[in-house]
Amino acid sequence: MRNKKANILTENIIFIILNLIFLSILILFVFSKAGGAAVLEEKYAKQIALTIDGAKSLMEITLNMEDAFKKMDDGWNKDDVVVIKDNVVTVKLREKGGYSYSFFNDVNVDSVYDKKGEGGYVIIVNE
Amino acid sequence: MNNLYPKGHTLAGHENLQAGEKVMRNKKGEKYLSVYWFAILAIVAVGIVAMVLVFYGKPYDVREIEANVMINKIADCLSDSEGNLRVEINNENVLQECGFVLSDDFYFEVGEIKQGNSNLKDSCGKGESVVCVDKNLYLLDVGEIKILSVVREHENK
Repeated sequence: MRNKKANILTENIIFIILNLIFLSILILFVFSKAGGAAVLEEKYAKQIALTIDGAKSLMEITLNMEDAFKKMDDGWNKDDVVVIKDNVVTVKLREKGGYSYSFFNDVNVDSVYDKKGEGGYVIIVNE
Repeated sequence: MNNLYPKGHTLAGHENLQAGEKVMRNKKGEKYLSVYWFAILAIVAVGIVAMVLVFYGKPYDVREIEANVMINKIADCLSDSEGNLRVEINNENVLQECGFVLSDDFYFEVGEIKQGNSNLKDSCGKGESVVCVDKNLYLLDVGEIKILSVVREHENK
């Protein structure tokens, strides 16, 4: 009798563990998609483009991109993450990847990785 | 736990097994390896994966914000420090005066001034291909003028 109860308990525990493993895999998948490098590239490219659109000459805007740097490919240089050229912002965290978005404000913009700050990029809007 | 599956249904049709150890083993098996249970897990997994892919597959839509930023810049540009219309701005010099570089994905219209891809205006109110925002600007000398801004998706992956 006691042996039978023990069997039922073991079966239930195994059943629950298998379900938990299944749910964990699903949750990991959702989080990997939500915080992936591709999503962050798009988010920061559009955020920088909109910031430049709304900016005025001689503004300096500091953007915290610490979460993006964490998802960066090993060996990828932080100075190469944000490139602004010909009214197009490109954010690239991976060798094979990157996201570009254009802005309409006719300004000359420089982007500099803020080595002294904490994971920030400085967007300098020139005249 | 035994009530999870319909009576008589097992993974591989082992209903006719003899009593004893084989039956006990089969009962355990039908609990964990039931086709029905795996079907439910598969449906849940496929549903969640599909929802995530649909949600994150679409680009972030920032066109409305862009259109509003454009309208604000046009309003700043058209009005002087006293709140009057800058009469020297016309269709020829508006891009230079206001500091715009418009690609084919943008269009704006203020009175006689029309710049950008004019085809986009026809798509306003017809689906989600463009976002159209119009706002009124009040100027002291000429009164109210309408500014229309249209933006199309212009991502370059």
